Amino acid sequence: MVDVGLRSRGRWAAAIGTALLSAAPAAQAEVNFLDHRGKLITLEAPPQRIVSMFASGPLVHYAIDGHSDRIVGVNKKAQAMYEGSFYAQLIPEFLKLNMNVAGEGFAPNVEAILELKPDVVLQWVFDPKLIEPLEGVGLKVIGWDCCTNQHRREYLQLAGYTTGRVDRAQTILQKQDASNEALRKVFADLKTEQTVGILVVDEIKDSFRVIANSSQDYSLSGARNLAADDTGEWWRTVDAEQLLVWNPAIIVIPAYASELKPADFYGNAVLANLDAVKNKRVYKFPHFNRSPDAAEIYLSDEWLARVANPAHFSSAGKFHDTLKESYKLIYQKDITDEQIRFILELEQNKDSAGYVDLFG
Amino acid sequence: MTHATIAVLSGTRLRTWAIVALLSVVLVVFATYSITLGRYDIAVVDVWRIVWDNVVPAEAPTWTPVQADVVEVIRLPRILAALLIGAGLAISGAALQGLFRNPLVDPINIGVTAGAGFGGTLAILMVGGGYPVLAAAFACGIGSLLVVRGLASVKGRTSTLTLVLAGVIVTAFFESAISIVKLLADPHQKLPAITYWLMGSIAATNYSDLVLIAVAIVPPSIVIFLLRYQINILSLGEDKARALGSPIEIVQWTIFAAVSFISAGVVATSGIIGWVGLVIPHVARTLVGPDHGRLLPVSALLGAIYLLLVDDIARTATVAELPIGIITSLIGVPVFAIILRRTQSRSGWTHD
Amino acid sequence: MIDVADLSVTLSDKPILENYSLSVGQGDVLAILGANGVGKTTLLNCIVGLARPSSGSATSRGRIGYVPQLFHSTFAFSVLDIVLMGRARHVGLFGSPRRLDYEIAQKYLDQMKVGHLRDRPFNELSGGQRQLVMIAQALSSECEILILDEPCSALDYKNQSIVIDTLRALNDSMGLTIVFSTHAPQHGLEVASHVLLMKDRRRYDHGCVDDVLTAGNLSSLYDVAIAKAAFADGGKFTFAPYFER
Repeated sequence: MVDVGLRSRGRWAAAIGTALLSAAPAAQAEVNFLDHRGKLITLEAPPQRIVSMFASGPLVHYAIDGHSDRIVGVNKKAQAMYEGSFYAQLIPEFLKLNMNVAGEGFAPNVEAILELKPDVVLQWVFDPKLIEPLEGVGLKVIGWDCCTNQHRREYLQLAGYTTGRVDRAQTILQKQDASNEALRKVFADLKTEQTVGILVVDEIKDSFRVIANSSQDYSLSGARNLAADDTGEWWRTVDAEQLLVWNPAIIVIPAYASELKPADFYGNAVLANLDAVKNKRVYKFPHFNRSPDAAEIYLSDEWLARVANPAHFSSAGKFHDTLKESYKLIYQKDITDEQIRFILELEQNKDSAGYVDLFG
Repeated sequence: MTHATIAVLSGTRLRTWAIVALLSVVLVVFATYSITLGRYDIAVVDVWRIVWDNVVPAEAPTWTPVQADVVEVIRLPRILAALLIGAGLAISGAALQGLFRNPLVDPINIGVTAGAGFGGTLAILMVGGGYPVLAAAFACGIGSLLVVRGLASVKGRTSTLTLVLAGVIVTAFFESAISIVKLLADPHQKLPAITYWLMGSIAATNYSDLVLIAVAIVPPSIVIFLLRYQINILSLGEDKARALGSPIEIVQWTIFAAVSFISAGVVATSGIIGWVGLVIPHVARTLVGPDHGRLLPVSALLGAIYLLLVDDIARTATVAELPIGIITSLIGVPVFAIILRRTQSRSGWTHD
Repeated sequence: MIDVADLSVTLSDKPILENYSLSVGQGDVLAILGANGVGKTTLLNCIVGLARPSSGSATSRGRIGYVPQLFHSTFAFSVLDIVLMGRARHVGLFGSPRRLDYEIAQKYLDQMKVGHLRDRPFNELSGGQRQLVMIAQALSSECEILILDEPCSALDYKNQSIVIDTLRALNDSMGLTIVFSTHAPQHGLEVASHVLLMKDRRRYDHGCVDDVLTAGNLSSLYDVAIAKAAFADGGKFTFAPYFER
């Protein structure tokens, strides 16, 4: 799936935004833009206190701002995500955030939020009941929609308008586009049948859950998802025989499936006949894959490309350098080799074919 | 002598043996067919050759090792599990119906299944896993039976209405208790383990699961069968049974223990499956009558065939696998309603 | 065979019997008479062992076969199945009836003249036939004492006659000790050796039929005028009520 320019809402927002902001960043002029509901948001000044009802809000804003001073609260599920991922090391101050703004999911705990005195609240738009209680008490809500790549690009833009740092949004988006363009060039001549067949498995219980249709474009990595169909369903639960019928060359595990490891596949008697298991080509996505909404998600495409088609990258630069460069650009932080090993899940992936050679 | 010979050779006896033989044949044929079902492409003949290869090794296999694994590792344990569980649940239902003198009783509507589920859940919360989970499931299964019996017996008489209501109450209680345990459980470790345990299905049965199922079902079923004459007597009523000299407390406790054992084993390996113990004994009774010496074996065979059929549907009907407990409910609950209507219309609400 | 000593029974805080004492000897036939609700079934339950005395005791020597007042089977057992269950004391806990048990069951079914109903569903039989089957079941347990709770109350005269004749034959041929309750005093005349008139929870009359089963006692027992009447061909008597206010 390839982004072809901005959708009309984004274009509208871009039009108003650029018209009202001066060229210099961090201008104090009043800001008007449309959120993902199409509602006009007016900010007299960049907000000093932001509550996010979901984990990726603070991540995107940190990438735009370079600091987390504006963020005062996030929901409880975010804690699990930050704690179990590289964000705990990258942005340790996130762990100290007030996590009471919602209960289990995204339903707002209005009193807790009011106590934090936010200037704006970030909330999903897919259920009106998530936003009504907030606007009902006079809070200003910026609505984010989900879950296409276009939406993710627009998170950066919305955060840019909110904080006045549109330049940062542009910089990051350009970096994403450049990376994707480079990958397209690498696999320009690859026909579909020649791409590597993969499955994305996020749960092994009595049945197996695979991702059927997601927002990731596997052709950027020279691969194709064998479970993709035209139902539009994100997940499919299948049995062992179906896995054998597909018989992928590679199995990848999303980063959010924190309990699942390649070793779980290698030790499973029922899966022993899969090519991916026999050849030890089961890999866990690194930590930059943890939040599909985060700014560095594009690194997943290059990582998968190197894992699935190592031959195409034999003369390319080291992935370590790409990582250092990306984290410097996005989070304005230097990461150590030790941290890179952590990000790349070297411990979990070390028994999988070629991983240490590729990323050790 | 002549009278006794006539009794032994009477129509009912012959008919029973004929039915048992027929059902056995159906079971073998059906199992043989079921093992050929599945998404992985294997020629039907090869499937049988693979199974036979375990009895008499073949010289030149016409199949690939992958195909052999699909048959032996993926399909076969599951089929055997379905047979055992179907038989065990059917026998449990028949025994409970005799005990409570009520043809509407089933381990799931009498609260045993929910009790076993709660026991296992609590054990996972407190201990983590392993045999204590089974033991706790067993203990709570028995506990729920005792509570139901206590609630439903008024002056020694048990009416359909109070029995069904007692089962509803006990089930509701244990399901709430399970919810509380889930709330207390650590959401990262214990809660997923609990949810997984409760939701279990036959789907990925392996051979160690199968051993556990066999141990949980076969010995108790044999014990129940040995008590077939006593169950007949108990079904006349506690007073009558006591007057006839039957040691009714021992019989009741033994059957409670056996049924709880079977239920605990089934819940622990394969999740909540119910209504088999209602539907199957009902059908079996119309075939061979209520004498438990005939009813129990026929129920076992019918139950095995039934659950294998249900499992075949569960894994082939749609793309995603249907939980087996849902199918047995979809069939069992309407059957329950029909039987209830029929027994009530015949004899009124105070039918005893 | 049966000793009731100072028996008192309270059920749900209501006193049913107070200080009943009597005994039944081997080979006796005891008829129990009394108004509805006076406690006949409770007394029999204590003797059988189904009810517990609050004080005193009811003991018996010898196996008891019990025929309850009304019996309906939940499941559609055949007559033979029902009678086979009478063999409970002879079949072990994990056992099942053998050829001998079948033979004995058949023998008593034939003795009760219902052998031809062997394979019919018990619940489809008439009231009288069911009583006879239940007696056959009790006999199959090879008891020395037979206790029947109102065996004739739901029967027409013909069936009553069959049952009473059967009891007499059992007593004569097998020396069975029999205790039964009834609303018909003439049953006592026909077959009993002793009679127990239960007036209320404290007062009762117990003794030989000749002594106790009199028109006067019966009249005061039932609070209805009862006369002893003779049959035209002489020698046999019966009791008849006279309903007049």
